[in-house]
Amino acid sequence: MSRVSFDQALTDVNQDIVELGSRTIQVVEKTKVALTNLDVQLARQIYNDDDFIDAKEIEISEKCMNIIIREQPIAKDLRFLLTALKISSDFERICDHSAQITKLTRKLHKHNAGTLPGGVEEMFDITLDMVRRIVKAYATNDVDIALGVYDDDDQLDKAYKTMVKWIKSKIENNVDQVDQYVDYLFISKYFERIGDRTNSIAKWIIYKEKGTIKHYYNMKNI
Amino acid sequence: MKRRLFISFFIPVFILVVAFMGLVGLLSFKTYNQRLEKDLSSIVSLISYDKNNGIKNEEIISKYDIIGKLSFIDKEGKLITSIDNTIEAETNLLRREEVREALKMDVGSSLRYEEKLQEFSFHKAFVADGEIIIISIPLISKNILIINSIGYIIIAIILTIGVSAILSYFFFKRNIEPMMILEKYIRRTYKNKAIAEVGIQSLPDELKKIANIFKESTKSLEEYATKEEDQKLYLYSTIDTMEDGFIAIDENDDIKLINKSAIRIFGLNQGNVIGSNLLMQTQNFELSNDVKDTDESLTTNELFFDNKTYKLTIYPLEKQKGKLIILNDITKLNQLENMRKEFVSNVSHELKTPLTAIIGFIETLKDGAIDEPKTARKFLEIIDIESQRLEILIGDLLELSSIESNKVARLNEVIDIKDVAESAMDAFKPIAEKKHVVLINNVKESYIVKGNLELFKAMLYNLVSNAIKYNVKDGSVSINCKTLGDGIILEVVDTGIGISKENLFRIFERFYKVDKSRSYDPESTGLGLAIVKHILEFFDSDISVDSTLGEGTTFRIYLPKKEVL
Repeated sequence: MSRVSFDQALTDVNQDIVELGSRTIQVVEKTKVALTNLDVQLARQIYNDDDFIDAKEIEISEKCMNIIIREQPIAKDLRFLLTALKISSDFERICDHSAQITKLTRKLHKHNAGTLPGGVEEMFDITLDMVRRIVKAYATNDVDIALGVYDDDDQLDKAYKTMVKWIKSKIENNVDQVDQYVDYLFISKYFERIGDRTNSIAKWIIYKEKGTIKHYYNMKNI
Repeated sequence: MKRRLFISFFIPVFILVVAFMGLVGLLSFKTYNQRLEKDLSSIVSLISYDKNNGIKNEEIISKYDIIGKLSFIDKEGKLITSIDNTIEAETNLLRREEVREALKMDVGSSLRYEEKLQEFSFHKAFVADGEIIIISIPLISKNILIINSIGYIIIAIILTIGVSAILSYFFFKRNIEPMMILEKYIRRTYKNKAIAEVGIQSLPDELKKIANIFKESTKSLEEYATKEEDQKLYLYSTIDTMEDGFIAIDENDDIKLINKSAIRIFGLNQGNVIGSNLLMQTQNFELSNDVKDTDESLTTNELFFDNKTYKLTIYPLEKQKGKLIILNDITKLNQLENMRKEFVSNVSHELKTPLTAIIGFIETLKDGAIDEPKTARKFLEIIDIESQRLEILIGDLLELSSIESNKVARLNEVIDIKDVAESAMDAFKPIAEKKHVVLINNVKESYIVKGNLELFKAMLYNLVSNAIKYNVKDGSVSINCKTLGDGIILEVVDTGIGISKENLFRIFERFYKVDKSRSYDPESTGLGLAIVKHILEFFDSDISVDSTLGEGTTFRIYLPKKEVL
């Protein structure tokens, strides 16, 4: 592999990751549409399409490992490839969580749930925004956006806690609707998990750019 | 640069001067030598004459003492008489060059440096009367040579350097300086992008011509560049003002040209867009995949992101091997299309519902129900109600379409809002009483607007009718009027059920009903507010709605006080 084709391979991986990120955004967007409209067909489609995302993640991992084994890159190139491995699996996990939400969407439809509670919608909006921004942060190598996503996670955690309280009180008062509220509880948990994944991506973006892995509480000092 | 040029002139000139001086020196030395040779030849013949005449050696020596040192040796090399110390010291005189020559050809000469005496001396030997006579003439002693020649050399060096410097300076000044002026002129013009203020009048004619050609070409280039710049500016502003997103990319999918709309659509950072990859910038894989799939013919597709729908058109650019992407926001168009579809289906539905009832009841009557007077009467009443509903509906539709298509006369009648409000109060009193709603008229003085009175009445009646219809028991409907600036504000306020925020912006659509359960109210066609909105367009007015669910709704109309033709 010549130097030119090596650079080309790195660019390929980079573009693959942005594509995976872009697909992830679409999956989360579609999941939102499916959940708000309780669209079972769309939910099933998203669930089935998850296989494609899995394949894409494996493809990226194989590319990265091939380059590492053949070229034995060092310094920045190695850091980039390690980051690519980490981030691609994070994106894949976000899509998995979305697929789980679509599963719950079908369940909610079965339980004849009404309109989406405001809290869930709020969490969804925050999550979607975080996913969009983390993809932008990766594509434009913008550490500031990545740090902003960290800040938003606090908001998401708070929303999650409020949501849990609200669900608890609802279950206490509407025993006959327990199924539906348990579904909402799971959905909120998945949002919270997606938020954590975006944080992990943010961490690796910062590692790629700055070369150091920092914990959250050290982030502010970068 | 200048120094180097000068030195390159100086060196050849210097070499030339040195060569010239060397040549002169050599020539004068040669002339002197020849002269000496000639003089000596005559002396040789004098001495030979003396010797042949038998004059003694000592006499001859003293006689020619002035000219040089004389020595007499025999043909075996033995010294006979001499005053020359060097010769006396030498053992074998036959080795001497001049002696060897003299033995061969009677006369010989040599010029050499005598180390013992440390001087150059000239020796001449000749054969006379069986003896060899040597004349040694000292030329320059070493001491004199050194002292004198140092002075000479210094003078020569100074002179050569001076002469070369002066020569090369003049040469340089004459030939190179104009070139440098020209160079300065061209450089400055290029740097400042304007004709430089360097005097070119002093240049020789040839260079002046070059300068003038340069000046002209610069001017025409400048004009061309300005034209191009203008063209470019127009092009860029045209592209930038385009509503549609516009991106040109090269064969590697790197962005080459992008307009403001596209930057806005994708929320990009204007600074570093050009030259970067399309996918990396937009993070939209659908767009990037569509671009990749476009080979020869143009591709169109719909792209959905950020809650907006875009019509995507990709043109391949053959020459540049790139592609042109145009994004057209069709969100509104789609909405309009949906509204039209909804309208058609609504109209057919609204017309069909009463018609189905009428046809059904007529068939039942035909099948025998007509013979039972009680049932027949009931059925006929239903048919009557449905027919009326149809009539109202078609009437409303016709009214709406005539208003919309400007078929209603734009009259200039004087309309007193006070009168219209009072007549509305009278007209709706019975209905209001039936629904236990209080009507309050707060219009106590005259407010005059001009326009079609019938339309104005229809508009206010529609609003009041709605306000009563969607009211609660013991609620109220009030009409308020006040001047505001140049216009009049007319308000219809009710304490009814209110309209939710989601529905608020749709209530002026045709057939839109907030309460779906009311859809089979024979009085309600869903066209009232659509008619109101279109009538108000005749009066150049605006309508706004404030509503709180469960508290009531306020319709506020702003009527400008100008003459309506």
